[in-house]
Amino acid sequence: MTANQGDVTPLKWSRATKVIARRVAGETVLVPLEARASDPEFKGARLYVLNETGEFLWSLLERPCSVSDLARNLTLEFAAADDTARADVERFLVALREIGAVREATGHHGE
Amino acid sequence: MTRVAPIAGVAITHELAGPIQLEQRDAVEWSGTEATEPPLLIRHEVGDTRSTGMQPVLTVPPWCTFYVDHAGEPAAIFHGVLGEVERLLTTVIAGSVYRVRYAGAPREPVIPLQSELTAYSFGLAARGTGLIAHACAFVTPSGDGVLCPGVSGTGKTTLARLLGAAAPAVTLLTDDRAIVTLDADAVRVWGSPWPGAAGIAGAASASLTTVVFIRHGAAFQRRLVSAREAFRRIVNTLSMPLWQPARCGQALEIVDAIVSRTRLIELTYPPTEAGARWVASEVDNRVAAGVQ
Repeated sequence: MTANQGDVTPLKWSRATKVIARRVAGETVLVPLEARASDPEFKGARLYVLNETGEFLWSLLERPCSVSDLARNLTLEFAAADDTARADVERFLVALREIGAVREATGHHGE
Repeated sequence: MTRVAPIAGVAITHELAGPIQLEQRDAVEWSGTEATEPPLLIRHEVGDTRSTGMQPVLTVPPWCTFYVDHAGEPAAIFHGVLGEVERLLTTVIAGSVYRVRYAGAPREPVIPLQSELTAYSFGLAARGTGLIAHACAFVTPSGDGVLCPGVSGTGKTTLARLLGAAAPAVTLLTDDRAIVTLDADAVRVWGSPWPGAAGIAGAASASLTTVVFIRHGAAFQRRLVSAREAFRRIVNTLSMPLWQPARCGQALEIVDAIVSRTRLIELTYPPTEAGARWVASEVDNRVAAGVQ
């Protein structure tokens, strides 16, 4: 999957409303419920397990965040290089947007 | 009116209207459990089976399509394959009453397996008390419940048949669909009246202590499985209620209980009676007596 910088950087992002997240076996599991209806190949559960950085970014997305917000926090938490953190954040957001787990935050959320 | 003896504590009544009759000849011998939960009612009638106003959420070609209705409750259309009449299963009262509409009067008594199993699954999810697992399950002589989940072709029916022949001390619950329930105290595994090819429908239950991921192989091998791996392997064998976030959340909590509170192992064995005896011995040492 390739990050599309133009798609994600100017916006603030937050968790989609139709996604559930639960801790299972010590991991965060996402079940997006919006993307499936438009997926003709959908035949079973689509569950997504977040890795450590994914869990961290997901926790931040409880409130609307920009790519810069997320990348800055990722850099602080994991001592990642700025450009690496930003690329990771963009990849993460693109992936989560594709599965319907994040959405553009609307203005009243503080954009 | 046809009554099904309680399944994991839940009795089912099929209420039949008009010309609809249920097939009795091939009915599974099901003695039922004690009735400990509120019953489930399934009304059968001829009527409109169109999905107007409902949103499709899952297609399982060619058999059925799942929907959510305007209230967010699940529904399903069972397509008219193999000469059957198309049927629409809808929720009347979540967790209690479901309705099956037939597009026309069936010419023969109908086998209610699909609608009964699906309505039960919807009801279980609405109550948030359990899940149906695609699994072979049995109880050891010590009273421990064992769940062997797997998709079709994993070897569930073969294992059940072999255990029946070679390990008579175990109590077989099912060769295809087990029910796993969670209450405050424990995870419990139950048999069901919906067996696979081996026809095993044991109306018993036990505290679930072990989950075994089965594999056929030439050698006997035992491997501990982490909770994380177990979650990934078991989740696609469970009836997850993907139509409603809250119910899916409850289901994931049950899955977490399964993989967090039970012993998780993978057993590789030849699909022979010796292999089945070894499986039985691996989950309960009391069965090991007499195993070569």
